[in-house]
Amino acid sequence: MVEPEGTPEAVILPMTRDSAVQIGLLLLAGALVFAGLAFYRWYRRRPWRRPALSGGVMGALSLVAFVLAFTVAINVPTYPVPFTARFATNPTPNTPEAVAQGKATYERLCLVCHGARGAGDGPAAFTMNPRPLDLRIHVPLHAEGEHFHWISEGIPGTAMPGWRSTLSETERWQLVRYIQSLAATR
Amino acid sequence: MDGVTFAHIASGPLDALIELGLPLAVFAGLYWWSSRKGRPKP
Repeated sequence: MVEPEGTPEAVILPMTRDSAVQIGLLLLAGALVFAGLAFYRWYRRRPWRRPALSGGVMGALSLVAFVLAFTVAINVPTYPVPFTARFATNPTPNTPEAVAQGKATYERLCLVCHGARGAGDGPAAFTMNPRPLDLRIHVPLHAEGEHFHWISEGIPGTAMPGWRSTLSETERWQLVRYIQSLAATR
Repeated sequence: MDGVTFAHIASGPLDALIELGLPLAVFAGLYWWSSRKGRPKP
């Protein structure tokens, strides 16, 4: 994964570039809908000023979102997951046994890159560009369904492979339990 | 990087709801306003 740009002191907007861009795009879509509505009403000789003004407001807000996204918002790329993945919940119980199973899988497959503590300092990490991120910091920032998706499908542009064909669904969810416990014991 | 949290405004479902919900709320509000009938002229 790519490290965030800039220093933390420079951060003003408590939102990532990806989030602000997504909001900006949706506002832009809304502005276009209002523009179409205003045109339709104008064509039909009906009142069109309010939809036109609404479109202008949404366009202006969209511009603000884009300006914030590329000026003050920090750039922490979030590799895309399907929208529904964020809402997936871990079906494995949060028990010491599940965490231990996850730990065994982690030590077998993940430790070589992510390191014993999840700090991204495994023996193979130093050969990688981009380097593995510190899981202890990043795991709490994402939904468990996102972690499950990245473990299953891998992360494009990085050395992170997808484990869907190697690990069962239960094993991948147990891994999520384990990396969450790593983050909790930081 | 220890001790520094690069926070999203939220994470997980709440993050998604904000990203989608904020523009939708603005759109809904403006749509309601633009569909409102003006005061009848005396």
